Amino acid sequence: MEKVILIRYGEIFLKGKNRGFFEKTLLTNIRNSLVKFNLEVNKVPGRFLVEKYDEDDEFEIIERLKKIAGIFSFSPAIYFETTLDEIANNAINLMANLKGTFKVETNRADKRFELNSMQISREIGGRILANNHSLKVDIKEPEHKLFIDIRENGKTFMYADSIMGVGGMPVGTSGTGLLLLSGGIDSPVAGYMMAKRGVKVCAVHYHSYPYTSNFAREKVEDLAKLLTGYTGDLTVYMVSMTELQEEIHAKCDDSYMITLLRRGMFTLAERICKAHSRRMIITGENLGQVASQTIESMTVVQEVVKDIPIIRPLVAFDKCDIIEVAKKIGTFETSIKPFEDCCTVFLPDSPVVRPELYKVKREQDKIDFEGILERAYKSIEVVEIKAD
Amino acid sequence: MEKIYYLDNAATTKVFDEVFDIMKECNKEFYNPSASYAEAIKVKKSLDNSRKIVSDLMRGNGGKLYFTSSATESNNTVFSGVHLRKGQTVLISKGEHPAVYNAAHRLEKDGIIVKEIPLDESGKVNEDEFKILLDDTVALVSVIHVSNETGAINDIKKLCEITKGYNSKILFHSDGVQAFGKVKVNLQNLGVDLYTISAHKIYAPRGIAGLWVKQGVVIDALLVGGGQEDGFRSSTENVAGAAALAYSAKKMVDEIQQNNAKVEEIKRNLLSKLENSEIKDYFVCNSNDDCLPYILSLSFDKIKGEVLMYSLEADGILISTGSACSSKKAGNRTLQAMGKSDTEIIGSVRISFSPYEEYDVEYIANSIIKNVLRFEKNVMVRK
Repeated sequence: MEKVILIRYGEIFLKGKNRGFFEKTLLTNIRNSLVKFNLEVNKVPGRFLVEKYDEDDEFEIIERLKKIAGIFSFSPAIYFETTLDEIANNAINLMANLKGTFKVETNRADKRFELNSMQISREIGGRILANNHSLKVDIKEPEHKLFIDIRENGKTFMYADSIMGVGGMPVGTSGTGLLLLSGGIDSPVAGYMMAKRGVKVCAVHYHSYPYTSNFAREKVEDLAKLLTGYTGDLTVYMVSMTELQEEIHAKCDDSYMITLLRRGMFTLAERICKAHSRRMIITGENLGQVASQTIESMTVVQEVVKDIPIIRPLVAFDKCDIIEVAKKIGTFETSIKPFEDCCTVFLPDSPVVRPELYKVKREQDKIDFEGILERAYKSIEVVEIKAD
Repeated sequence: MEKIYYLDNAATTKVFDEVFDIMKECNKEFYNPSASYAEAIKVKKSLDNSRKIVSDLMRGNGGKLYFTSSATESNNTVFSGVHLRKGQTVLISKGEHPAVYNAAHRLEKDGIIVKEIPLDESGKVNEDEFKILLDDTVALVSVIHVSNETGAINDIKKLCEITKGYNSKILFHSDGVQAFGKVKVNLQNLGVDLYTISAHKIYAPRGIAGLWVKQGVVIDALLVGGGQEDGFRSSTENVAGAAALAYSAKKMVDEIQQNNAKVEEIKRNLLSKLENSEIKDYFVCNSNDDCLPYILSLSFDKIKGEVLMYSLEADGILISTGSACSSKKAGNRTLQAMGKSDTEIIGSVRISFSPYEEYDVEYIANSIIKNVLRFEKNVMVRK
């Protein structure tokens, strides 16, 4: 008997012609994610199989599989030579400590096996009942399910439960994107969601050092590290917005601080995208959450981006829904650490909520917007965050 | 960045080069000092020799110095180990390090009353207020010897006399982490019952510290186990750490006067350069003569201390803030107790010198001035 993990993939099936590409990408992603373990990941028809791993590693392998986009679900299983007695003995052991109701489900791919699916389920169910008096059969709504999968190669898989994966598409199958990563709750969630749609993500972080602290930067690196579970290795471009903020503060109407600052951020984001073949800008923006997130404000800000789509996966989310995802993916606790980011220094008392483009441009012309951004772009620092 | 000017010596210090060699040799003698073979006994002797050196440096023969892993552990040992009953009072100063402040306040859940002694403007314990707080319920007093924030030196001898004069049974503890090696410490003369020291503030490594306990003082162990340190502090002993502490402590104590003169000069030099500059909106929190010259506490009116700290870092100058405002931690209890306003606290920085480093004071002063002028233009909304 061998322990294995059966991996089922979801949406890949929808992609007729591209299926080979998707499967190959997913297999590579799984192998990369599990590279530090001594094991094999193999393809069997319609599934992948993690085999020959050290049982002590199983918990961590499972934690990693839970984060890989494109996996629909997976099950730690046992794998053994098909005989009725072997099936029965393993089933009895697997169900030995359970109470309540159960059901046996059998899939018989090996039609040579003497009993059919129904007969196997009935036979094994009966033997389980004879050995565990705390169990009762319930075919409609069982508390526990036991799956028996009799393969054509003379071997049988058996497992008791399925663990849901994140679903979606394998990272790398939907192009590349640049995530605007602040230190907040939303942007990591946006990055996660796009990675889940198959986008290979890298990130840009805007800071205002020395107005923002080393801790704020460390927090962003921590968030990026947490995201690597979903995205794989993550490049973060660190960009200083200090000069732009100081100049706006000194020369422009303070209420345009955020609008002008964000126009600077998006200008630079597009420039980074073009230089590094990124096909989309991804933000954690959400309609109406804060002043800079009115549709008027988004319109005026995105006016600086000419050739690249801005994807806002959270635009229609309620905050509590975003928080729920942030908790699920494990970024929430880090996001709420109280370090100021770029947007929270130089905060005007009353930011303009519905900016008008001509006024914004008038304010922008009071400073050497282009020159400042050029200097900021030149001083970009690239940080490579490696997945564990 | 060419050179780093490390001006955060109140946080920790750079280990003396010689100490690495001492520790290496010591660690080669790996035997467990509790074992009974001859090699192990040699190790035990080395440990006791370190103990004697450190103890003698603070005239500690009326008690025993126990090695611990940190000053935090020493202070926690005091508050968890001294026998206190519900309804009894512990007095601590408002200027204590968190290791005393939090360890003391934790006793409140057991029904012990914890009161804080106010400070005067110079950052020292206000003696009149202290006398008022002394009553028949007081069982333990703990006052920091030298403030880690301002360098203010408390008159521990006098506070001890006041305490013992009121009731000789009251135990007196002092956290001497910033004092030992920098001011003369004579435990006989000070009259304390318990005294905490630390190695990493005096050019020895982290992981070793001490608690001196006067003979006859009843105090329970914090850690129980194999019964090392006469049962007072179980754990296999850090022999190399103790040797490192002994070496650094001896060097520091031997050189107290010249060291003080040196840092005094650096401090005065830096202050005079600031005084003669364009920057005006600042003040020195610890201008008082009773302050240790190792620490300079400054407060700027128009700049967050944290912003100044990071901008100096860009010039290779490492300092600390009086208050970590952006991380929303509590402000600065010590400065608050000295009557400083929130604005003054947010604008405060702590610069702490080392007599064993060469500072380009001109460069440091110019960097401060340059950055202060830059940020004065960018006064931010302070929350």
